[in-house]
Amino acid sequence: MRLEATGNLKKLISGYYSDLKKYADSGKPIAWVNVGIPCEIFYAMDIFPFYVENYGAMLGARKEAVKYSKFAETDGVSKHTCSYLRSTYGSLLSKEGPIGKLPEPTILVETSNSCVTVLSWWRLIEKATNVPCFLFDSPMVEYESSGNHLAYQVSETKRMIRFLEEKTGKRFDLNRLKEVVKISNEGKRLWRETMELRTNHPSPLTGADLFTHMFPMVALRGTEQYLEHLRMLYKETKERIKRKEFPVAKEKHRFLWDNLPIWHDLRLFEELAKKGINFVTDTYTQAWGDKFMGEVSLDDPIKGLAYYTGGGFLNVHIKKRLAVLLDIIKLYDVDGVVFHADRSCKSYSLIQVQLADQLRQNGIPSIIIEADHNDTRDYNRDSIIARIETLSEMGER
Amino acid sequence: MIDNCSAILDEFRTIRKTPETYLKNIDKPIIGYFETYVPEEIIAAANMHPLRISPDNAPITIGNSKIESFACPVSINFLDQLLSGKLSFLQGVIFSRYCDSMRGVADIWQENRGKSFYHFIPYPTIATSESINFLSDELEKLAEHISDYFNTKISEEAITEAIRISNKKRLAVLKFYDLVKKGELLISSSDFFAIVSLATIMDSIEYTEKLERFIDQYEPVSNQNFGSNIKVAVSGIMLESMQFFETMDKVGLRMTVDDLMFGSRAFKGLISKEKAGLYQAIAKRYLNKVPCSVKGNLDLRIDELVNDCRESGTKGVIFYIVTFCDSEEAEYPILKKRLLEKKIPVIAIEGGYRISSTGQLLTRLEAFAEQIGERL
Ligand code: SF4
Ligand code: SF4
Repeated sequence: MRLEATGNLKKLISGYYSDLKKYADSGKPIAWVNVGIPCEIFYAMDIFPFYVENYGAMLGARKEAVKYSKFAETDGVSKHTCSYLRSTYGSLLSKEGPIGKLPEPTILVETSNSCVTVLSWWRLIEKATNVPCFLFDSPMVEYESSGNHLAYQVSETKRMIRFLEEKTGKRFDLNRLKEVVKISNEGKRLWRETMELRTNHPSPLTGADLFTHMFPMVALRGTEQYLEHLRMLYKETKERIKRKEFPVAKEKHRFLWDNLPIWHDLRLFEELAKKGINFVTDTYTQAWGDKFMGEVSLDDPIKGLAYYTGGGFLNVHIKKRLAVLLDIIKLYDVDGVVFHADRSCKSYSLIQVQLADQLRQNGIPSIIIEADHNDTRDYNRDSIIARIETLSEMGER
Repeated sequence: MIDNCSAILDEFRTIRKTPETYLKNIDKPIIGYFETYVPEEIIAAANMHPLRISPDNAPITIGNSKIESFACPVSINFLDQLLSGKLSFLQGVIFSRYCDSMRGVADIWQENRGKSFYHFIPYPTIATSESINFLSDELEKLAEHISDYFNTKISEEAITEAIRISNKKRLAVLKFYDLVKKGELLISSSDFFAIVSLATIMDSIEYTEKLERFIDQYEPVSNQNFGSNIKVAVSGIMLESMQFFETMDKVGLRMTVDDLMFGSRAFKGLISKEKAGLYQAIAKRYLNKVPCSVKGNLDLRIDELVNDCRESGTKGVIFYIVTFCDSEEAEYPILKKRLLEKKIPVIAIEGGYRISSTGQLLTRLEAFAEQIGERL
């Protein structure tokens, strides 16, 4: 069951990439950034934030990640490293990709709030492009950024703004940031409310839907088109409930997905939906929900953005990860958890055995399946489906 | 070498072979850590013994079932040592944000440690005045945590003394490096490794005293009488396999420079007095030390390596990559390009914390020795 909003999403994505080209053609600044970086500041300063992970996900979804990874592997980058890194760096080296040669960055901006791998990734890009690079430093926190950590994140945000001003000649204007943050807040509210509609029995959305529609949450927060899209998505989801049109009308199982999706096989969710298995929530899209990216106060937007950068989903320790899992399992009435052990993402995956054990101790059936979000090599779809089916054998609703 | 000197070397060799026997005689509580960003000075100031845990040689018992197979083998070994109780002689462990595999180990251990002491230092990645302030606060929190947990007091005097002792040790190790680099101290790769790696295992005062005596009493032997003679550098993060270094000895490759996490990168840079206080001084040193690739800044590390190679007349670099160590795996192309630009041949060898096939390693090292093998 296809969402009408998906048509708009396609427009949004092609608009994003044509804007990227427009910025390049007119000599306007382009920053290659990673997902932890708050795009609101970039939009407020008219610097184009090119989210490299997003580009990686696009290569993954188009099943082109391996093709480009091979360029990186030939350059000496090991096959064991994150497939986002390999595929995007490979595309950069090959000067090819779905949009042709990637427009050159003016600057690079990275943050350490998701993994250490990003640091190596940006280093490779930096050596290949030879443009100034800024690292937004974000040490890990237990639950959230506070005290000296928050003060540090505020100072990092300000240091980043100074870097942006210096390297692009663009001026930072707090009032403009407030306007952008206001839109961003409104979109975040809509995203949260859309996610919450999935608490409905049956859920109006499948597991794949929000993975597909998270693009604006990552890359367009604070823009008009983002808000328009999220309104559309919310409205359509709500109408489905009203009209009782559900993608999995008889949900035999309401499962939770932990980790990135397998971008090259989002159809897996459709396949499972046919068997009455619906993924009604996941931890990945929650990373853009209010637990990790809530409303930013307009009184002090820098502090608010710094707070969410510092407390990003992959910057917190296991206790918070477990608390969030337990919370959403309850909220979405989940009866089984599938942990996707993503070979690429150690930062996300390496505590999953522990988390699964702890969930089982709480009476929540949990299994671990292994795959890679982008790399199609060694992907065994049949065995993954079989494993998920064993989880469903633990009892029907 | 005069007798006394070889006696000291023998002692180093014995301790390296069976560190557990040595550690049994330490009469202080022992706190473990896994990488050299955790400041040993703070542990020592609490009158405890700071011990850098190294991968052991025993087969994994439980670690494999508690973490995904694509975690790096060193981290699996560490987790195994923790969960299986092999490290139960420790009073606690301290982690810092190091790599993506070790953050997993830290989290898993946090949930399984029972009541034993555990501390995670939220470590900055860069060295700015703000990050130094931040780390300084965090180190103070670490000291408070140790004090509260063990009901002890970490005084300013104790920290000052611990800094003095660690600095003295660093100077002794750096002197050792310098003599090896200049060719005034000829030593095999396995002995080089034993000596350097023990600096973060043994009691600092005892180690420094022994190393200083070893250096003082060392009498030069001529190159001709020394077997391993092709000078090489070894670069990497965690390479702690004696077998590896012994294989280097066999093929005549002599490590004269190291660029390892527990090696030169742990000792370069002293802690200097800071008006802003002791924690600031410690934070400043650790954030400015030659970084590991997990800090995403390879330039200083490569510059140091290239300089050391130049100063010592080193003929090539062996880059040891632990499988699944993303930071090293991803940065290898950068390192390789830079070294080749400087006309320094490099060979990458990938493996775990143990050498599974010495035959294969031997063949590769022999080939490398042949490639660079201009004898001195
Ligand atoms: S390792 Fe994980 S968090 Fe890091 S870039 Fe890859 S997918 Fe993202
Ligand atoms: S070898 Fe690399 S991945 Fe493994 S524990 Fe050390 S730094 Fe981490």
